[in-house]
Amino acid sequence: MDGVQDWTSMLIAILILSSFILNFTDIPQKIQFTRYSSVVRRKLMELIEFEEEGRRKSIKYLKDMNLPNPKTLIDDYVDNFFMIFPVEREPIDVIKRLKHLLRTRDEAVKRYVLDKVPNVSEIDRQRIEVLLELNSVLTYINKVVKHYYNLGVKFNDWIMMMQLALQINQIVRLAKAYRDAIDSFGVGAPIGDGAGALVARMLLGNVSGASEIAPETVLYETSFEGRKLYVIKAKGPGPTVGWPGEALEKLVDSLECRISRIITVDAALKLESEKSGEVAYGVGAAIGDLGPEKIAMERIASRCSVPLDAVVIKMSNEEAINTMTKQVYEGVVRAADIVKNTILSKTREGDAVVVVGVGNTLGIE
Amino acid sequence: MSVLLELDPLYILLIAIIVFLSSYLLISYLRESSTQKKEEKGKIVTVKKCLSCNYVLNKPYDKGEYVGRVGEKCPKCGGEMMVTAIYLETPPQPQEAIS
Repeated sequence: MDGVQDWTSMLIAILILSSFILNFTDIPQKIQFTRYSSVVRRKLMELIEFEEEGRRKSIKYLKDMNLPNPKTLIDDYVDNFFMIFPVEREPIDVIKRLKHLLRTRDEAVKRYVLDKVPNVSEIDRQRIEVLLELNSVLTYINKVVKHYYNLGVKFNDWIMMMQLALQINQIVRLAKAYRDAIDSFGVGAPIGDGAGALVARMLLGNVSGASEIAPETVLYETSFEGRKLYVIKAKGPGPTVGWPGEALEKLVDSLECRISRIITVDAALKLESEKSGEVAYGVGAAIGDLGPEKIAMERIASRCSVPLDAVVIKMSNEEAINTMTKQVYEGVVRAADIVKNTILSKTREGDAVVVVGVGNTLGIE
Repeated sequence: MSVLLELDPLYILLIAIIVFLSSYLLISYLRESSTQKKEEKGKIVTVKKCLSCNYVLNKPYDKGEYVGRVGEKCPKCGGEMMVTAIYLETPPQPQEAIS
């Protein structure tokens, strides 16, 4: 019985002591800090490995293209070619300024690749640009995570470390998607983001003979059930998204607004509860750019009072930048059917319809 | 069982806590390593369709193929075949999210 009393007193003493430690010292936070920082450190090693693996794979793909100094090409690109966004506090002509900066950056990247590799084909140049961009993103993700980790360690900021530890799995997932994308772009098969471009291609069948209406953007002319069909997409099969907004603006202007309907098709990010390849339709411009292309579509549609339809094929972020999965492809087939039904039900014979297939056209002519 | 009955209840409590914590750690570790198992990559399939007789041919993807490419002869009628689709076939993944 005495033994039990001894134990009880000891337990009460332990409880009081633990309660004191938990409530009046920083020891629990220090323990949590150590735990969370070890989690982040472990994941950071994974991120560093992703970056190095991405670099190794890119060098291999670039060597396959017979480039002389692939490592220098990547090293000189990463960290450079950033773009400072225009001032938004003064919104007048912000889209014009943003478009100008985007074009300037695009041109600078193109010039950089052509200076380093003068005799490269257009498709290979686009592939090199994408590989450089992917390496740049992987390096940037690592730098941001290292920044917050070092900041947390420096100031013993356990809240920052905890937030980082809780988000690190999502960050690793994103980085993994970018690392895998290097393989997808190296292989050259269509990626998930090309869903819109593939819908456009499906509507064309075996029609060829496109004209370049805007930089890296082509226009096909065909017919469908008595309607004149204009199809706009990026110029494939290289990895580019083109300038679909500018292309649509030029086309509708040249037709003096004699268009019955504009249908935009693009890939869209799905919510976690949604299935890959689900298709939805609505109104508006289905395009995920920073603004200039989307606003160009909206402006021309509203100026000419043309109904603007949107069809989207849903997928995850990882699926969007990696080789197109079968589920997404099945969504593309369904989306093409929806576009055809929309044309049949909402336009009449003799009308002119524009379909804009938005997205990266890698592996799709 | 009789050994357990002879033990002090506090000992039993301590043993129970130790067993609970060890199994919690073990399960967490196993769960983490099972989610990190190697993912199957799947294979990329090219779908070709004959422009004359609509014969469809599925084959493994070869580097350089793209949707819209015309050129290969149809094994059935000798007409031209066009690549109509290229996609990645992956084994079905277990659904974890509530849809």
